[in-house]
Amino acid sequence: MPTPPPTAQGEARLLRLVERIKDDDPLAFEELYRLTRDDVARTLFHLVGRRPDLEDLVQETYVRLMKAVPGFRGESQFRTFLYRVCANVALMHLRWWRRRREDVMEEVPDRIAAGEDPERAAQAAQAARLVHQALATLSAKKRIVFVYHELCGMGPEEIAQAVGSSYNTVRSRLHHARLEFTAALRELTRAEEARP
Amino acid sequence: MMRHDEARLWEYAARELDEGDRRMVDAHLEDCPECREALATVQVAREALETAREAWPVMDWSRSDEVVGALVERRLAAKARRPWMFRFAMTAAVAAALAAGAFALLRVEAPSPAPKVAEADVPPMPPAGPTIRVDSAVGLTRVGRETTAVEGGAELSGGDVLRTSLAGKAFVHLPDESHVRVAGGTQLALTRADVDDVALTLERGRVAVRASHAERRGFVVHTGGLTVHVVGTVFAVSNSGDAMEVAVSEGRVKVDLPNGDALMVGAGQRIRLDTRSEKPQRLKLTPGLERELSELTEVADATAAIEKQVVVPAVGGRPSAPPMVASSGAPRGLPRLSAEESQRRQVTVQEPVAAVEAPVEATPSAPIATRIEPKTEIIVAGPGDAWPSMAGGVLRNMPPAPEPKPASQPAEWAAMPEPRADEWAPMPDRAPKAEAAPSPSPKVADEWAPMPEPKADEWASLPEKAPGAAAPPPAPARAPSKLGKKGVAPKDLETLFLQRAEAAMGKGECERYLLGLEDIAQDAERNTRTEQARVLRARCFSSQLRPRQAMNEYRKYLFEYPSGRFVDEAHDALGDE
Repeated sequence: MPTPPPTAQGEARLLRLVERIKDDDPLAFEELYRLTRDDVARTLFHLVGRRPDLEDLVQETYVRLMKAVPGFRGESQFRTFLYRVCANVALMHLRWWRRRREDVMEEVPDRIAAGEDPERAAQAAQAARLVHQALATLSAKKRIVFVYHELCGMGPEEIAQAVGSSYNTVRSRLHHARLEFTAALRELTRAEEARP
Repeated sequence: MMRHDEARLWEYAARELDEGDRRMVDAHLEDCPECREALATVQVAREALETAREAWPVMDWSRSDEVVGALVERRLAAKARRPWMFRFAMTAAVAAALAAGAFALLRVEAPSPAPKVAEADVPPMPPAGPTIRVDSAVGLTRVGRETTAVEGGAELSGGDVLRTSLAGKAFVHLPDESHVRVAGGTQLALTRADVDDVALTLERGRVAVRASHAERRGFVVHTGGLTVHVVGTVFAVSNSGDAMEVAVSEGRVKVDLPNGDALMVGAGQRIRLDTRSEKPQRLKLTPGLERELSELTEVADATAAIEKQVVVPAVGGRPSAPPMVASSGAPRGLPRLSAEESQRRQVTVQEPVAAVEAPVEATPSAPIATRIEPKTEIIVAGPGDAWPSMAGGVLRNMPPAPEPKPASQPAEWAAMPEPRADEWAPMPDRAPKAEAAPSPSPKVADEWAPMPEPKADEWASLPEKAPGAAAPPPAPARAPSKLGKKGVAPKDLETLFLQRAEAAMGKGECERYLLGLEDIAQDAERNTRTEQARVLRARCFSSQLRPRQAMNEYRKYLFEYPSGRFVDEAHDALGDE
């Protein structure tokens, strides 16, 4: 299921919850969590790939979000603000994995769903596996920009706000990420075809 | 395009180029087979991304739910502590300032023969601000790190989260002189409760509010994405999980819907919002709701009258019935009467009790005040305290007496609406105290008899009659010889409840019984019912595909009943771990 496009109504509802959280209503945070957790999980899934500790990352995101929400000034959409928190969590995680130089993706069982059509689900799972392998060749920052643009449907301006960089930096990262991703995917496809 | 630019091809494939650039690329592609091949690769990559977008992770949310829930609980607990700390800090600061001032004054004036600063000259400590007080409560608890029972007369703080048992009910008096009636099976957070600013968050269940006309920054009730703005009015808000409702009996409220729209709801109107469709429906106020709101109004009036230290005649009592007089203690304190005084002021019922139980909804369109039959309570034993009932009679056993006696319950519960099918299950009040209570009066035999089958409808299906007016066919488990104070022996009620829970499990509707089952399972006296309740909870969680909770229940079962009837089942479920 693709990430649902943000609607003005959904955004207005989130903003009302944010106001309540700022007014020291912790229960509003629980509601915010229920409304956004699927989106956060899907975004992190694409940002870091198949990881055994995806749930931990979701929790980390909400722990950070609770601290960060009072600082939200409404200068961007709340969704962008939420993606910024996701990006920070993902960046930290990707760097950490890179330092460990371990790749546990092969060991992680597929926990991917895609609607009720099993054939479609299998295709989506296969495509996701391939895409995540290709994404693994990108640097963390390029990967975040690429995922936000190509998988989450965000524009460069919104990404610039979400990652705290300039518009031109985002364009540049996206440009290089596209080249690297295409090359990596080409190699992976060839390797798959060559496999007996 | 003078040179091969793969990124440009990506922009071309994504239709990000303007018309001029697009034509240039088109022209280049016609002459360049290398770029056509590169474009095919880009399109393959984009298709892979498109398909991958449809994949999403299958998450086990239980851990995340726990973590976020714990975060919220911690915040709530910290918030609940804050007012105390703030008051303490303020008191300490004022005391320090006064001490410093007095010391400086003494030092300056020491050489002169002027009199010393008398203690009486020191301004008194500012009194603590108005508090939230529980006027009366049955089955009310404060949720937090530690769940504590709350009784009438207790004081609450902003940030407290209240929960009522399924058969419980509470009346809460807010600092701005507004009153809240908390129905059974409700969880309500007193998010903000200041003199000039009130915010309540209804997590589930139903509250009725009589907002005062005090000037304030705001009075809002939040529930499931709805925000109800109040000016000065009487209204009710409910959240059953599937739908939310706002009903108004006086004044108007503004309701902000989750989609950003706003609706005005006037007197006699009710809106219902289905949580799935999020489409509001305008409906009429039901008689049951009107009754609930009028009950709240009466309690609010009675409380206000007491605080003004006026004499409140016992409504419905004989003209000669002694009036109820409030004590002249602290304005927000409980009116306490001595045991002797209370005995002296007892109101006696002179008319048949059945008359008290007359159908109160016989003329739903008539004004509320004329529809409420006067109720008068009997005080059986000499109480330590007395408290006005909502009908102006006297309720006994209010705090500090620990347990409300059944004799005071009928008037309270007569107006309790029937439980709804989609709300919490109709949990019987297990009241061992009822067994030790005096022999039942003629009317109390009917109090529990009409325990209803859950109805498909919501408030609209509330009974048109008072509970005592006509009883539905009695459940087979109710043996007249075992009738307790409320008409059905509590044990039979528990058995009945367990039977219903078991039947609901077969239909996949056991969730609403979980709370009641836990209530039974937690009984200190372990028996076959408590054992069955524990197992039913486990089975219910299991049927809802909540293995973690189910295993938890089975573990508790093995701990509590190591040689119980369902040990094998528990071991099987736990995989003999």
